[in-house]
Amino acid sequence: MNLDIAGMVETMWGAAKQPLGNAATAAEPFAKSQFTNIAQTVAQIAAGVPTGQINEQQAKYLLSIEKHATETALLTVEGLGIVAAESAINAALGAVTTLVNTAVGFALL
Amino acid sequence: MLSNFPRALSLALVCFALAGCTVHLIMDYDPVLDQSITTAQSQTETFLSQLDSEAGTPAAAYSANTTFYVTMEAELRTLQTRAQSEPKSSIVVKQVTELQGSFTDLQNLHKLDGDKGLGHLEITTARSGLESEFLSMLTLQLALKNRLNTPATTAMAPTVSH
Repeated sequence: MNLDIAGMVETMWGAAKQPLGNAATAAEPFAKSQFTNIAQTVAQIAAGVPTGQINEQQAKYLLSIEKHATETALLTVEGLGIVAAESAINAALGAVTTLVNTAVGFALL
Repeated sequence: MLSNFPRALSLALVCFALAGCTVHLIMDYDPVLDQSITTAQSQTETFLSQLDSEAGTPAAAYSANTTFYVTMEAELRTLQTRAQSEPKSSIVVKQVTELQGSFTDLQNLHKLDGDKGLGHLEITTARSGLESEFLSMLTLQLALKNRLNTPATTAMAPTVSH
């Protein structure tokens, strides 16, 4: 059985990018390369079952490891989005520090 | 997440004004945690390489390798406790939980194969999944480390072995 790896990656990315909002573009290179690794491994497992290299029970455990890997990659994407948002907020605040401090006449920010 | 950006910016401005602080939405970088993840990966890679080279021999049987699983369980529990002790660490805590799940799967797979030990394809695919997990965890650690310089959100994950 041949799985469409590129199609799997796009499906995974399609599901992952929505909650990311504006951070999706920044997280895309990491997410897509990780999803590609995972999709290739899932395809290896799927190919090993009909040839008898892997039985159904073994495939179940190996796929479960890939599910954990996918979840961990999604958590990283989420974390990268938070770090990006945090940097944007701090940069925005940093940019108005002089303006605000000059306006109030003391070091408020 | 970023749709609340204006509100978050307003809150951050208040925080700045009241406390003169920078905004922290996620845990600080913890070098001990980072190093522990790297050590766990190194031990895992050594274990899987050894199993692969001993495939088909009594040394590769599950019963001959239980010490690795006991050791790794203890190390991941320690990692989990360390992560839980940090504020705003829920993402990293969840990542450690996922990693624990993968090691449970690996142990169950090894148990299933019993005296025969893990086959080459099983080792290759399990290794690939575990490497993906370690890579994801270390990528986030790197972003936390570099957060004050350049956010690592454009980092490309290197290809893992297949």
